[in-house]
Amino acid sequence: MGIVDGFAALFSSWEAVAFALLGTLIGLLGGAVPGLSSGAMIALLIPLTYYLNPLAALALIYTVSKASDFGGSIPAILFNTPGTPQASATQIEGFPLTQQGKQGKALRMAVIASAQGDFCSELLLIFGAAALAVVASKLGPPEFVAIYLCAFAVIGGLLGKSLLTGFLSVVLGLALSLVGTDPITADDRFTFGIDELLDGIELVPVLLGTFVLAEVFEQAARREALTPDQAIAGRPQRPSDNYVTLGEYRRVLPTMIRSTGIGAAIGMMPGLGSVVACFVAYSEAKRRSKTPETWGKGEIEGIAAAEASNNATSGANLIPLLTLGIPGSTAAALLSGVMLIHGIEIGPNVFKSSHDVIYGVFAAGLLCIATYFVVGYWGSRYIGALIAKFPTQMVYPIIFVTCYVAVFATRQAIFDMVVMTAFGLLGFAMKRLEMSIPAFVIAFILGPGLERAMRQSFLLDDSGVGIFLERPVALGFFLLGVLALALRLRRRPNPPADRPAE
Amino acid sequence: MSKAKAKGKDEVSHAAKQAGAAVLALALLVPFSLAISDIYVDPSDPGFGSRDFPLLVAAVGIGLCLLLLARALPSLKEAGRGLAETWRRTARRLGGPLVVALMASLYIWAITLFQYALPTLAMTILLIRYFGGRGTVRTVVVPVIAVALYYLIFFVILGVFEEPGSVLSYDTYSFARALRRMLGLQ
Repeated sequence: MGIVDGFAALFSSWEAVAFALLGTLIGLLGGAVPGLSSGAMIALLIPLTYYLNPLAALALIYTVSKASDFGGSIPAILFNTPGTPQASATQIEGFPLTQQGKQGKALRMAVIASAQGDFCSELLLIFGAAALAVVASKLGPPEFVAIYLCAFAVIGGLLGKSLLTGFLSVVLGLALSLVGTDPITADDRFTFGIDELLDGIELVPVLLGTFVLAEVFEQAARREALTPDQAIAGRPQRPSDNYVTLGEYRRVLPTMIRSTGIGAAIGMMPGLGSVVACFVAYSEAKRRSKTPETWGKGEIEGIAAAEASNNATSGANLIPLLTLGIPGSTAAALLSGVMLIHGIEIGPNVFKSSHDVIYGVFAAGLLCIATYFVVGYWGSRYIGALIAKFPTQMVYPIIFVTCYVAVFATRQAIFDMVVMTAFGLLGFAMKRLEMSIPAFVIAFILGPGLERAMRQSFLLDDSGVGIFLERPVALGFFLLGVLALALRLRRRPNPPADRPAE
Repeated sequence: MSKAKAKGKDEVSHAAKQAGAAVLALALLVPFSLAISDIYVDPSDPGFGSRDFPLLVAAVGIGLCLLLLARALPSLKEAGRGLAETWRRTARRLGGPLVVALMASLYIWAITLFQYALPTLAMTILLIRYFGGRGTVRTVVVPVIAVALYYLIFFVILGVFEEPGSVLSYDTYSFARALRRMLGLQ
């Protein structure tokens, strides 16, 4: 069985196990720091992955993204400040519990729900993705053109305050992905006489610039230091205020299962993200509750719903990446970047070409879940206390300097530092103008693939665009894209609380 | 402020952002479009050639920009004088990022002159002070420890090679190699 091979591959390499565990701890601690998004954290680590073997590199990145989904709930519960956007729903019920002296119960409920949701999603990934990949491997260039365009329609439509700016972000990503050399004729294009651009714009400076440096520029514009509010924590009144009782667990179990399903379904769809999942699950759980008046005042069922759902997106997010080659979230886009760096083919054939590596990554995911459950169940209060001591005015200067050394470490090229600075300014401008950076980055990564598929499609058949209409799967994906656009146009713009994570 | 006024302000702000997004995109897409004609086209290349995909991207992009501008301009015209105050507020807020971008440019230039350690130490101290850090621990101790840690991780353990500076140059690589041998990493 694939996952058995995966565990064998993982545990046969001390490096892979060590970096899986390190990634878990980094994700937990980094996710708990308000102002440091999981995307920024992962982008900062990407240059380090150059020096690792593929399994260790992917395990590091994957476990950071998983653990940070739970890590963000720690300051949300203790300090009323979500460490990551996907912990925003947890904050609603978590902080009132802290004020009642039940922070231990809240943190433990969060870790139980997170681990359960994450584990179910991981099983779906392990047993579902390979089966879907067999179907996807039969697809040809016209189908991939349709899939890419459908993905852009969904991602551009959902990841942005407005449809037009979302699409514009996608187009900018596509345009910049074309810099370098033509994939078929190998002639240079869009280099403007700069020799360093002959190989195209490197991915790492783009990721670090748009996700990390842009945030530093944003903070420079605000010059506000985010300081976590000191928790106005009450004292526990009873021993049971520090843990989740069996009765409470049984009461919230149906909600956790339902929220896991919601999170997994949303996670599989490109562009929606864990922020959407946590609020949809929270709202649904509140709607079904027999005592909705207790919500907002410290209802552990609310924490269970939000955390089970946001962690359930983690494994499900990889399904479109591994089956269709479409990264549907920021974390998946960054993971696909690492796969490209290590020469791992993205798409359905990855299960054949890199079987041990992929299943090793899944095994690392399971190891991560077990690790953050143990650490989180017994150690989250101490993590919270540690984060409270860290002055947030120091976070951005340290991040800034880390970016520059990290980007230099990839190719030892000063030019990459210049490119990163330029993309940092571009990313800052895009944030201010409410354009979508994840849509831009996903289009930047997929652009070359789309161009290649399109040119191959027109070479296959002289019927021009008719080739897309003659193939039922391609036609189906085109119609899906049109449907997604139509649904997006029908509904009102997202309120800020529902915006997908950036 | 009344609800109607607040709503009006939101609409103007939204329109200004849409117009700004269009202008930003045009600033990138116009040079991109002009460079398309420089792309070599193989005469024997059938169907969808080397210029066609870039042309498609440029056309869609410029079309979206014009659509955004067409939607935004009526609201901006109505806002009239009020808009000038919005732009002034926006320009004031841009001061911070521009200062940091200038510092970044000087930092990169300083690395080419003095190699990595000294410019990074100076930059870290300047940035911590800029973001409000005060006191010896935050402005001296933390930067020194941070630079030392980066050196250890990237230049010693990972063996990243540093080009000699044009003003100050020293050989990090041999020193790092000796340390790596001592640590058993080489």
